[in-house]
Amino acid sequence: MSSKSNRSRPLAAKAIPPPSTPLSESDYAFTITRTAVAQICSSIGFTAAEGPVLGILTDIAVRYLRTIAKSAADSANSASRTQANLVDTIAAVDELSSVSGFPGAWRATGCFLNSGAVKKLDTFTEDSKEIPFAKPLPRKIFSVGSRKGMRNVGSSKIEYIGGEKKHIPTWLPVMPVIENHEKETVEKRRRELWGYCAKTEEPEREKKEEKKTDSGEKESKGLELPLKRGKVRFKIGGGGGVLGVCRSGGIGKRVLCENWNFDDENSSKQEQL
Amino acid sequence: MNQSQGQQTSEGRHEDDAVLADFLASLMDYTPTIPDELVEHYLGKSGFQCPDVRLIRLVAVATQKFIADVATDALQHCKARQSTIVKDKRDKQQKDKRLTLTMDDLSKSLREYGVNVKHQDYFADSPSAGLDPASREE
Repeated sequence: MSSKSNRSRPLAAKAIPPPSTPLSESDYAFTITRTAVAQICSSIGFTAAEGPVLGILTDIAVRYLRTIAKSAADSANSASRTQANLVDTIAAVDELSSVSGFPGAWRATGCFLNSGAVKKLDTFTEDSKEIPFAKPLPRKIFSVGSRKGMRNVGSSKIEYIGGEKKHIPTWLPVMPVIENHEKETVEKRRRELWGYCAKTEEPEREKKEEKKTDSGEKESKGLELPLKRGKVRFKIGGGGGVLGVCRSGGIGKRVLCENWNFDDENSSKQEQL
Repeated sequence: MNQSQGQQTSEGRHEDDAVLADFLASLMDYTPTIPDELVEHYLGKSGFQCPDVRLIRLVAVATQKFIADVATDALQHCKARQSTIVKDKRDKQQKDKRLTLTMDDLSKSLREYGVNVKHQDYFADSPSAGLDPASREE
């Protein structure tokens, strides 16, 4: 393994994403963790590290973090709480440090608040040199549970942090943003317009709504009735001879009716030919 | 006797509580190497929800300590391996006296923490690996 020395590079040059993979959010988090782990190794006294080895150590660090979190969250949930508190966290830390052992671990019924593992952490923070992360990260760059199309963008983020939607827990995925801002304003204007002068605009509105095949739009209850009647009218008028198709209802009905008409037209053309 | 014992234990508890409170207060000033935002991200992914920064930093410090412990053990293994090399070879490797984190040292140190890591005998980390045997012999 003489090629090991060739492969070893300085720690700072290790924060390279794996090739031929898209840089997703998890990759970004992993890269940052990798840099932090490299910093820790450098503070211990290492001058270099092999790339795969650093990757393994980073993976272990991530797993350690997530195991603590899962353990603490589980104990919080078992106590009918959604938010983990100090006791849950210390219990999780104790559980993970029990592999290597800590002073006072033999006490089966000891209080979590005087845990030896936490005391070791205290001495660690006092003895070790404080090394902050290489570069300060912007706050809330990670949106928890965000997926494609559900990422919290722009001003709506503020609503979740301290605005109208602050009652929604942060661990829940963000509500999908379906409508863009322009559409919202247009709809708002339309509602205002119909609210004030509904009587004058009603005929125009009926014409517009008849053209629309999308049934997803919900309007006020008083204006829904003429829409449905319009469809019924269409059923009777369009497919008078095809009752079975009309009864089935829905959007597909129109297509069927059109098909029938199309066939009729074809047959009439054939007859003409 | 029972009352005095009870008083002692309650005093001990008060001391422990004070130590813990001091530690948590010191975490407000301590900046872990693992950034808070990153820890929050991973904690949130695992369902841990807590607005308190101190708890997040506690988890960050615990992880940092674990990694530091593993790395320290690996460093000791590395130093021990370098010191046991025969003198003839040591002269050759004087140039390469850098302390490099290798898979052998890491797997040895991780074994003590209950993590079994086994590295492959041959690992092609680049497309050119194995193509030029002459350079490997060097």
